[in-house]
Order: sequence, then structure tokens, then C-alpha cells
Amino acid sequence: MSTLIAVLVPLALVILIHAGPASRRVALFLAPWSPLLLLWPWLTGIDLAMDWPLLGLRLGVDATSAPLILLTSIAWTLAGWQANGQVDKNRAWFWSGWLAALSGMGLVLLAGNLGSFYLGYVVLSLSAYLLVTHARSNEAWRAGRIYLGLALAGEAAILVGVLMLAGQLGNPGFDELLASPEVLIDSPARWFLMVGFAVKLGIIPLHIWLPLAHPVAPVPASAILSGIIVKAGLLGWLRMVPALAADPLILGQLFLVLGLVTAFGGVLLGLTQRRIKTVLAYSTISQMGLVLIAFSVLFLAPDQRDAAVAIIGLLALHHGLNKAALFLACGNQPGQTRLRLLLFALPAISLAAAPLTTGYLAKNALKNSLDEATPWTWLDPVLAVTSLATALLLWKAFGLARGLRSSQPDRIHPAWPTLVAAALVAPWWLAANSNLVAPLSSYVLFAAVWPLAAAAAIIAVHALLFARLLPKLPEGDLVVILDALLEQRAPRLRFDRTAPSRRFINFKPARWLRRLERQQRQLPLAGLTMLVIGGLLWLLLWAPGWL
Amino acid sequence: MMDQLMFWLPLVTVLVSAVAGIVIFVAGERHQRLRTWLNIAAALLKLLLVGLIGLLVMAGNVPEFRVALLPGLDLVLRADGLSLLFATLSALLWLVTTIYAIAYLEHSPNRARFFGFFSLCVTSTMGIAMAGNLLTFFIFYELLTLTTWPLVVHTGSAAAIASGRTYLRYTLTGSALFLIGLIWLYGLTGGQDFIAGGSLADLDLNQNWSLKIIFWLLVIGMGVKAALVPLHRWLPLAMVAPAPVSALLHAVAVVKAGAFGLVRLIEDVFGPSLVADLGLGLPLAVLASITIVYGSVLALYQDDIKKRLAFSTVSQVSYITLGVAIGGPVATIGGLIHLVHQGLMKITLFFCAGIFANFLGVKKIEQLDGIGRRLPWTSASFTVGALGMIGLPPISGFISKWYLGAGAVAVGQHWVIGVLVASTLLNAAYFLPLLKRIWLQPPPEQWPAEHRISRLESAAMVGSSITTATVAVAVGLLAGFPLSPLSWVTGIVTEYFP
Repeated sequence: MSTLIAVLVPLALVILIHAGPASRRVALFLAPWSPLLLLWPWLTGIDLAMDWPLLGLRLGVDATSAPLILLTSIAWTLAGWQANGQVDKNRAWFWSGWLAALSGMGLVLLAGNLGSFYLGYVVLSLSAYLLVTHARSNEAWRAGRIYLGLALAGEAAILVGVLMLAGQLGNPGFDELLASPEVLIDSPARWFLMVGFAVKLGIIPLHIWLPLAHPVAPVPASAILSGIIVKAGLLGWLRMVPALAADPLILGQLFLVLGLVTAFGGVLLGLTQRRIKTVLAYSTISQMGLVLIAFSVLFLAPDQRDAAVAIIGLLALHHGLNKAALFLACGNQPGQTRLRLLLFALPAISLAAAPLTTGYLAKNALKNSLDEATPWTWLDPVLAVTSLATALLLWKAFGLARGLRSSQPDRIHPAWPTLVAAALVAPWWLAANSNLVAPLSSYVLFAAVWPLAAAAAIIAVHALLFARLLPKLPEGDLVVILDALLEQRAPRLRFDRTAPSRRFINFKPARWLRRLERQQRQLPLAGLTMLVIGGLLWLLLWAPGWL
Repeated sequence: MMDQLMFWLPLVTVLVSAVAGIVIFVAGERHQRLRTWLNIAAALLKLLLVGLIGLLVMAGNVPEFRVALLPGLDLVLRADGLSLLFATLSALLWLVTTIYAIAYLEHSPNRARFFGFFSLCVTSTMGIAMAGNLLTFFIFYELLTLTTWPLVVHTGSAAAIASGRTYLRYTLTGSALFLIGLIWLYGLTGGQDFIAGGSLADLDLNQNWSLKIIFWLLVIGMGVKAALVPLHRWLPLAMVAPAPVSALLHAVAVVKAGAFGLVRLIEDVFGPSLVADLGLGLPLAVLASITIVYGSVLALYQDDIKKRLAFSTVSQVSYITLGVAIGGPVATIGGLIHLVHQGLMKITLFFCAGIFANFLGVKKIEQLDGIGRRLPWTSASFTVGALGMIGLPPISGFISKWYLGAGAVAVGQHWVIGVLVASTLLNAAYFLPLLKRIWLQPPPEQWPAEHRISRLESAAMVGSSITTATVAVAVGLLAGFPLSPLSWVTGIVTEYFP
């Protein structure tokens, strides 16, 4: 029951917001705190199975979802607290999207079978559109358009996978899915799902919506988009793309390489940016590359599933809390005082995996599991270089953060320091609980320190010598190609046009179709078409062999 | 006593609205109050009778009315699971539409004519639902063609008359082919009743060629009404009719009758196994798929709300054909269930389109900006219908899509998933921009043509749309309940695929 309440209460609040001024006041008062309800099923842990809603609903908490539930309840609540103080225009719009997305995310987290997960995922994807477009500027509409286009494309791939699984297993629970490798191994369903969820995670080259959507959304919304909502794709992978013992090793290696490309690509692209939220968005892309690397361990060593899932959970919790803290900082003039700069620096250092931080903890665990899973010795230094790269990117963000100040500074919103503190503590707690804390040795310490030292050296040299060498890329990099393509050829499904675009109308196949349609108004032609079709059907009769 | 009841009940159920229609004609234009009450009373009575039949059928009875038109040619009205599904849907939606139509046409002329034919139209639909053999089906099918024509041309404008003419040309040509197929089939087999699993399968005819040709003749006959491409052209033109008529045309009456006929043809005349043996399913499934994609692509180009909805119907109704053509229990469930789901969602959309036009004069898509703030309940209903058409959970359209896709995979027809996904994306492309305009754009200074609507009228119209939208969500959300359409359809399909 607690699971159902955690999912339904945010929806009820959405309705209350639109019901009238009095109920809106109540709803807005309660809205920021509703994510805390997710803690309830996590603590009591009673599973729920009902046959009557949709195709059967199963809700519950397990080891895979627990870290993400913890992440959501902490970060979403604190971001909501800050949003309560800082988002003051179009409140109904903002909070409707916020609460609906929370409801979808809750369902994604708690879902125990295919249908429930898909329902939550759809609700989440669509309602996030309201958060992205909240500013209603041209830039926001464009970001929303690209977000929605990519989200729908991802949705389509997921739908293919889901229907394929449904055709063979009905509406399976995730445990049943794991227990039927003979179905999964022959079906391409997993790969459709993998690609579909990768859109949400921002795996290169499906990442272009992130750097567009995160900067235009209000600060707290960027925090949950970047910190939490991207993790819905991760949970999709963990649930529906299980590694099978029969999978060839090359798959895991492929994912590993793809993860490295994303990890480094995100940093390189991010370094060319000039806005702090864009830089942070690229950092998220890069970190999701790390998550993909961790995910590849599942395929490299399928028998170690539980251990790998625990590491992925730790990575997700660590990144989610710290990244959300960095985004919340953007709404608190972090350049104003030393204290604020320190509050900004703490999660940044943690993301760069400095010793004693949880980032170091997560990365060390990842490194150890990779060492066991692959014979490749070059991975260790490469992994260390990702820390170096992250450090460079976050230094860039730090520099931009120093400029964020104003002559009339607001007071620090308490949500931000609270989240920073939670980001420092909670992952440690999780790591201790899942036995991921490794003893500190001087070698390990060295391995963690040298990338940062190298980063510092590069920063110093760069500042002295090549300060102006970096190119400046537009936000969303590849989106430029997409834009160009759309301008040239395909129908533009622009939402904010008064009339269909000329190009759309002149798109050749479309013109041809419409002419065909017009001509059928004339009866002789319609008759002729009927005859032709009839003739074709007649011909089909003569070829029963291949039908 | 019980036998008598079983015998007469189907006939009474069919004729209730015919009697009401005749009284309305006789009473004439002036007796407005009588007409209104008669309409609502007849619709309620019909719903009651259908409910009674439903109880009887669930108790294991088969109410049947049979009379010989000629020796060997029986007129049979019978209630089995499938007819009850369609009958319940029409009876329910008819009641709602009647209420809506009374409010919608409050100040327009020729209402007696309208409601008279409206009632006759129900009679034919109910007859189609209850028809127990192909001949009975054909009779009511033709009656439907003729009784809907006055509704399509109701406004009497030149455009309406022209559309009406196109409508007749298409449907009558289809009927001619239907008749040829019917006579040919009767020549081969004699008059056979509809039997679950097909009446032809057991005859062992060894006439494969004739059967194939008959099948396609009948498919064209039904396909005209079911708006299979390239026989769909009349449907978008027929949207010149008043909104309640469009709602019915697209949700329960004409288009659905065609789709229902195709279901009968495949499941109860030829039977799924014979259709598979003759290799007829795959071409029909391909034709349905072409229709699905073609209709959706054309819908993208329409800037008139009702026209866009009309092309959407072309596409969506073919889901039903697709489901039964693929075969296999799961896909058949998907097809049959869409009979109900598409009806609920599409009637909601047309109700809302009618309200937009009637209250504010909004007929074009670009006029929808900000209408969500002016008409929030109507817009919410429209949103439910549109999201359901895209196939998003928890609205009922999702259930149809799930079963269609899963069923196609189950019988190894993976390509169908591509069609479903393409249709989903296209539906999103032509519905989401509307929703964005409705909710996210600022409203204009002045609406195109604002009308004063009395409270009662607006309550009736908006209430109708809210009702159907709620039911569309409910049958999806509560699909697992024993009394849900899904459970009912599952029961029917287990008869076809024991």
C-alpha cells in the first residue's frame, strides 16, 4: 500500500493545484515534501501485486532500486524545497510538471514488472517536457522540441522492445525476465531497450538533448533532470537488459568502449562551453559514460551480477547527489562568498574522485571490479585519466561559478548546504552497507591523487600558454547537424507554427501523397484505384506459395 | 414464458429505436419536449434491454429471433458474446450522444428529421450487432447506409450535398460487391449462421478459388465502410456533418459497422483456421497496415480539427482489421478490444471538437491556442482522447496496442511492431502539437465566434465528453477487472481459439 501511496499522492497534488485557489495553496505547501513518501516503502519493504489495474501492477523495493530510491527521496525533496522559494512564475505549470514527473519516477523506481515500468517511464518522459519549457522563451521551446523528439524516439525503441518481450512472456516480472534467458538470447528486444534507455542517460551520440534542456530549465528542475531523471534510463538497463551467460564477450567490450567514448567525449565537448549549467550537463554526460563502463562489467562477468549492481548503485547515488548539489548552487550565487565557493567545491572535488570522497570510493570499487572482469591492464590508467578529465571540466565550472554573484545577493537557501552534506555522507553509508569500502593503502592513495595533480598542472600550464586555444562549440554540438538536416529535407513538425511550413508542404513524397489523395475525389480515378488494388489482390491469389 | 422472452428479446431491442424514430417523424418539428424525452427514454430502454440480454448470455442462454424470409433464407437476430460487445458499446455511446446532440442542435432547424433518422440509424447498428447470419447483416448494413445519408447532409449546404453524394457512391458500390459475394457464398453453402470458429471450415468445400474471391469481394464490401485505403475517401469528406453525427459515424455506427463486419467475416464465416489455410490473413494485414500509416501521414497535413480527426479514424479503425487479420488469440483480443477503445476515445475527441466549434467558433488547429484556460474540462477530455490515441498508458489505447504488438510477435509477425511504432510516432506528431497549443500557448484576445450557450446545454455537452473520457481511462486502468471489456473480449476469443 505504501508503494501505491508514494506514486499516487503526487498525482493527487497535481489535481489539487488545478482545483481552486484554496486547494492550490495546500497542494503547493505539501508538494516539495512528497518525495519523502518514497522512503516509506523503502523502510517497510512490503511488495504489492494487483491484477486489476492495466495489465497487472507489481510494486516493491529491491537491492537494485534501493540506492536510487534513496537518491530520489533526498535530492528531489531538497530541490523541491529550493524550488518552493525560488520558482515564482508560472507556478501551476512548474509544479504540475514537477509532481507528475515525480509520480512517474516513483513508479519507475518501484515497478516490479514490465507494464508498470513502462507506464511510469512514459509519465516521466512527458511531464519532464513541462519542466524544460517552463521559461517559455524561444530557447526553451527549441530545447523542449528537441527533448521531446529524442524522448519519443527513445520511447519508440523501448516500445519495440517491450512489445517483443510481451509477445513471448506476457507481462513478466523482472525476476521472471532474468529467469528466462532462452527467450532473451534469441530476441533483439534487449538491444532496442538498451538504445531506448540510452537516450535518457545521454550516451553519445544520443546526448544532444541534455546540454540544451538543462540550462533552460529552472535551477531545481535542472538538478533533478541531471541528478535523478537520467537515472531512470539506468534502472531500465538494469531491469530489462540483463546480461546472459551466453552473451559473447565482445558485447561487454563494446559497451566498455562506448562508455569510455562518452566519458571523454562529454568532457571534451563540455570544455568548449561558456555557461555553467551547460558545462555541468556535459559533465553529467561524461559521468553517465562511467556508469556505462560499470554496466559493461555485468556483461564481462555475468556471474558477478550482484556485486556489479551494488557498484552501479553507489555510482548512481554518488553522482546524483553531487550533481544535484552543483545545480542547486547555480541558484545561490556561488561566487558571492568563500563559504559558498567551498560549498560548490566540495561536490565538485567528490565528482573528480579525490581521496576520501565518495567519488573515490565508487571509482575504486569500479576499478577493482574491472580488474577482475577484464585482462586489459591499460584500463587502470585510462580510468584514472577520466578522473583527470572530470577535474578539468569541473575546474571550468568552478571558474564560471566564481562569476555568479550579484550586488544584492539572496540569502543561501538552506536546501543547498543540506544537499551538500547529504552528498558527503549518504554514499558512505550505502558503501558500508554493501561492503564496498576498501582499506586505504599508499598505492591506492597514489592512484587517486596523481590524476588530480596532473589536472592541476594542466590547468596551470593552460592558463599560462593556451588560454585562447579552445574552440567554442554550440550547445548540444551534434544538434547543429540535426538542425541542418531538418532545415533541408524532412518535414518539420514544429509545434509553434501557425501554418505548416512551406518546406513541409513541398516535401516531395508528401506532395505526391496529397496529389494522390486529391485525385481520388474524382470518381473515375477512385474506381480505377479500386480496380488496380482488386487486380493486385487477384494476383496475390495466384501466388499462395509465398504467402 | 422464458422461451418467448428469448425469442422476442433481440427483435424488441433492435426495434425500440425504430419505433421512437417513427413517432418522432410523425410528431413533427414542433413537439420538442416530446422528442427530447422520447429520445432519452428510448436510449435508456435500449440500454436496459441490452443489459438484460447481457445477463441472459452470461447465464449461458442464447436469445435468438428467427423468421424465414424465403424458404432457406432466414432473418436471424441472435445475441452471442461478440454481438453483445458491439451492442453494449453502441447502446452506451448512443445514450451519451443523444444527450449531446439534443444540446448541440438546440437552436437549429429540422430537428425532427435529424432525430428521426438518428433513431433509425441506431436500429440498423443494433441490427448489425445482433445479426446472426450474413444475410441479416447485409440487410441492416444497407439500412445503415441509407439512414446515415440524411444525417451527413443535414446542414444542406452545397459541400454537405457533395459529400453525401460521394458517401453514397462509395458505400453503394461496396454494397454491390458485397451482394455479389453474398449470393455466390449462399450458392456454394446455403444460408449458414455465424458460428464461432467459422461455418465454412467444416464444410470441406474444396472450392478454394471461389472462396478466395468471395472473401475479397466481401472484404471490399466491408472495407468501404471500414475506410480501408484506398476506399477511405468518403470519410474525411463526411465530416461536414454536425459534430454528434461525426462522433457516431467514427465511433460506433458506419466505420465500426465495417470493422465489425470484417471481424464477423474472419471469425464467424470463414473462421481463423480457414483464413490461415487460404493465406488470406497476411494480405489483409498488409492492407490494414498501409491504411494505418497512410491515414496517419495524411492526418499530419490537415489544419482543420475535424479533418485531422477523420484521417486519424482511417488509421485507428484499421487496428481492428489488423488484429483479426494477424490471427492468433492475443492479436485477435487486441483487434476486438480496439472496437471498444477506439470508439470511446474517438467519440470523446469529436465531442470536444464540437464543443470548441459550438462555443467559441474554433475549427482550425491554429485557433486552439490557450483554449485550455477557457474550457478546461473539455480540453482535459480532449487530452485524454488524444493521449489515448497515441497509445500511452494508462488510457485504453495502450491496452489495444500492447495486445496487438504482443500478439503479432507471438505468431511470428515481427514487422507489425514496426507499423505500430510508426503509428504511435505519427499519432504523437499530429496530436501533441494540438495539446501544446491548448495548454501551453497564451489565449487570443478574442475567440473567432463566441456563442452564448445556456448552462444546461453546456452541462450536457461538456458532461458527455467528460463521461466518455472517464470511461476511456477507466476501461484501460481497470482492464484486469472481471467485467472490463478486456475480460469480456478474452472470453469471446477463447471460443475462437479453444
